[in-house]
Amino acid sequence: MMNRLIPWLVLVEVIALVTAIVGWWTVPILAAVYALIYPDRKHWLSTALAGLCGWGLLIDITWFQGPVFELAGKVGGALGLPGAAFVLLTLIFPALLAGSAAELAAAVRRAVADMARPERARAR
Amino acid sequence: MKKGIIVRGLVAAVILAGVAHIGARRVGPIPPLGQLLDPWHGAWAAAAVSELPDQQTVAFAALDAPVRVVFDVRGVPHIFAESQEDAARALGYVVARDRLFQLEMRWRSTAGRVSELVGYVALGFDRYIRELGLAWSAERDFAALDPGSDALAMMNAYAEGVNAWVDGLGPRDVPVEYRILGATPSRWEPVYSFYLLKQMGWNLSHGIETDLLRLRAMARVGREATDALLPVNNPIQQPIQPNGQADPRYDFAPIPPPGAPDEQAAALADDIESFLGPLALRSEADRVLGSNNWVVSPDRTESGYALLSGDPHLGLTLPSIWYEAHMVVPGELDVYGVTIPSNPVVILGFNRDVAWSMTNTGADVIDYYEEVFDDPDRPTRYRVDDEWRPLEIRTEQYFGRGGRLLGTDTLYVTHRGPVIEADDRKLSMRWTVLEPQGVTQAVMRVATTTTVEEYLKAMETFNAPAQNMVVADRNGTVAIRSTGHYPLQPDNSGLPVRDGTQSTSDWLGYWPPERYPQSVSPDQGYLASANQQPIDPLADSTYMGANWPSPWRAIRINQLLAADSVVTPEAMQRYQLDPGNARADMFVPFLIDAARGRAEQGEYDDAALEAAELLSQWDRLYTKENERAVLFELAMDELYDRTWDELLGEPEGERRARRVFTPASAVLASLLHQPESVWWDDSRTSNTVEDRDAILTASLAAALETAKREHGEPHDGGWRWDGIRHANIYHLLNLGSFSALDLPIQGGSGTLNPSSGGGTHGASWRMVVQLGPEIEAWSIYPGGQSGNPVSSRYADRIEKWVNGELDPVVLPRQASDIRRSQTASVLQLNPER
Repeated sequence: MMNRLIPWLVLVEVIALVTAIVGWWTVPILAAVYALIYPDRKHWLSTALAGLCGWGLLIDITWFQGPVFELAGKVGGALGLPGAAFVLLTLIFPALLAGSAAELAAAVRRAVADMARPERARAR
Repeated sequence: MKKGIIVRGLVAAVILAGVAHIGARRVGPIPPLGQLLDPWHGAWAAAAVSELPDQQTVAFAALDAPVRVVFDVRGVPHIFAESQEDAARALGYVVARDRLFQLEMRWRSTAGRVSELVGYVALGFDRYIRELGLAWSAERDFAALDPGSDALAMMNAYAEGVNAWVDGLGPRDVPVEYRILGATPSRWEPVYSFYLLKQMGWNLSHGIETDLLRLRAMARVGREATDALLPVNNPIQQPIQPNGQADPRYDFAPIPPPGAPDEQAAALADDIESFLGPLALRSEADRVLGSNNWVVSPDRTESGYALLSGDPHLGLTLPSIWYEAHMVVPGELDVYGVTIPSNPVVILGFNRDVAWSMTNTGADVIDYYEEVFDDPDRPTRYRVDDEWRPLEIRTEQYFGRGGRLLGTDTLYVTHRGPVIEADDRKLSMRWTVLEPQGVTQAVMRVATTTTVEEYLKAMETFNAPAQNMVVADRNGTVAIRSTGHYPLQPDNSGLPVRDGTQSTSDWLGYWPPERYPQSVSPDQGYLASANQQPIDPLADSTYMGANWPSPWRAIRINQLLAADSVVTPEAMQRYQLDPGNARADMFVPFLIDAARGRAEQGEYDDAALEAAELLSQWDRLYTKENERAVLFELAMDELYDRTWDELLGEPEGERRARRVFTPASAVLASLLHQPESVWWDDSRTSNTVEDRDAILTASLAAALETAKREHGEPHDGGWRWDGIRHANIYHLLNLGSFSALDLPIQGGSGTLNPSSGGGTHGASWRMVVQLGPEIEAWSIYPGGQSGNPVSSRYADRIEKWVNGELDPVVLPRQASDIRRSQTASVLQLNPER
């Protein structure tokens, strides 16, 4: 359990940190790298959660700096959404990026492995 | 390879590609979501930078010396600099920090480049603005500035300040509006400060509408009746320049009956309207809203010091049009008041000796000339006095988001000004706003004046938009002057369109300043303006304009000031929201008498009698809790509809016919004194010829029915004024969630705090100044200093504004004078390189 939890927590923090330093588009890259390093049948779910939690962490930090709920209400309102929906959208967006990128990376890794397996069998 | 892996991989790739696409690219109206939602760099960052830091030191290479900016608890920056240029740099910097998106919108909306920000939807607006030539004339004026002039130095310095902020902008500092639009901030050019003046001229210079209204009215009821409905002289005279009469003078004259429709005027109105669409749609209510200002001499104040009130009314927006600031350069400058973001000067305010404020004059400063071109399709010349003159030709290109070319126009300019293409007519437009201007120079100079006399001299180059300026000094002198360029017409009239082929059609020049309507320390001890006709035609009958706003506010403020010989600053503040209404004082007795008089003659109308009884209980005040003002306003609406039925246009499809023009309520007041006039007859009622009292009675009865239907029974609480009349302050992008809506206010049509149904206009700045040995001042505006919608300084003044409260102003002579308890933030700008 801890073997999986610690790398996942690291992923959450790395997503938050790299988003803050570089930008939103790093989320799928980090998730894909994670999926390649830590093969897991449910990597799409764990990386999606990591994306969600990573951005949630950044919103938490911003909450200490200013009125995030008021902001969610106002910006959400500008887009025709309730404030809660704007929060949800903000959390789902990195989750989709991370989950889909991890799933794609895992699929590529498995495909490569599957292609390599008959080669190895023949070689034996 | 397993099929499942391929399918899962493909599904993941599609989702990833889709989400990444909407993250990076705009999809329809949805901005790039990655930039918007990013919790560190996107919209969320606005929350993190919503408040001012307690202390901040910034390197600002362009400065000549350190500048200290102390923000007081109201968010007002007190700028302490060693030169006026450094003060302008610091002002540009702090305005950009607080109002960057507003700066962007301001220059783009004058340059006709809003499409680049919001896309194709603004193309029509951009084309219209460029055809008016606002930015074109600003650039021409800017290019003509003396390279060594103070004005140019100040505008350059201001631009350096704005750009210092823009260049140092971190991703978290970008205003949230840019995130919503998916745009990036642009740098500031010094010429943009001139754009502002042109835009203010466009907002405030009347004439376009009056000409169009005149044509529309002529198209319905002919020339003679139109001249009476759109009079050159208001039938109620309470001029800005006192005429020696304490009370208003009523010059009520018979209004000629409707004449035959003028078809030529109809065609011309259609043509002009094809160009003036947005202006033509401006509502009657918008036109009747207006500003007030007044001054009181020391011998009529409790303290023995002169008092000044400034109360300009404009379209209300969030953030506010105004930004409050104080600039101190020891020995040179100590000026406090409001600037408009984009200009480095205090426009309304005071220094240590003089205080000033303005209202709009509303003179006719626009004329159209029908031109003849050498070639209708590809013209190069236009004809004047049987000679061909070359046209100035310019090509305008319009771009959308991402630099996509949306369109190209070829525009023409004659010696009179830009040519507008009204259907197949070519109309050149001469407009004082497009003439070389000296407004910035004038307003810069007044900041350092020490007496009223110096102020009036300094303002002589102020040309457009013409303003009624009140000014008072510490010596106790008070003055008023309607300052600006007023064209001298060759025929002393306001013809809608003139013959462009004759040079004799051109203006003969402008009124010299000594002829401007004005008064200095008159015996009456006070002076006031409220957009009314500036000068009594018995004193000077030179044509200045027409269709002047009815002087109800002017009458009321003159009543209040005449009745108070010991005026206090508190009274000045109270008068700004005075709920009394000279318009109601004029009309209510006629309404009540009509219903009762007809009943006495056997013409009973129970509803009208009930309404008359309710109105007779009314104190004629527009307080928030008042429950009768609504009935009067509905009765007035009915009265307009029933009286001016001759001015109804043609029905548009399924929609009811719209009135092409509504004469001023002072004209209707004049008609009240002609009870048998044919104008009273409602042509829509066959077999009946109504007189005045029949129409007044019917209006009352209909108003009561509407009031009950819409607001319930009179005593059930639904008629309270604060439940009906509201102020609505919209964000610059009309985003409802960034706006302050449905604010209950005191005041209505004709009161000193006028309001209309839309509630989008109102008191944009309220100021009271007492000019004692030490200046004392109080101020408020609807909004806050910050443009960040989640800042505590975004709308923090609105509650007080709604309640008519003003804040005492902090006025330190040096940075150390501001107490710690009054200090919100300190910004140190150092010229480190």
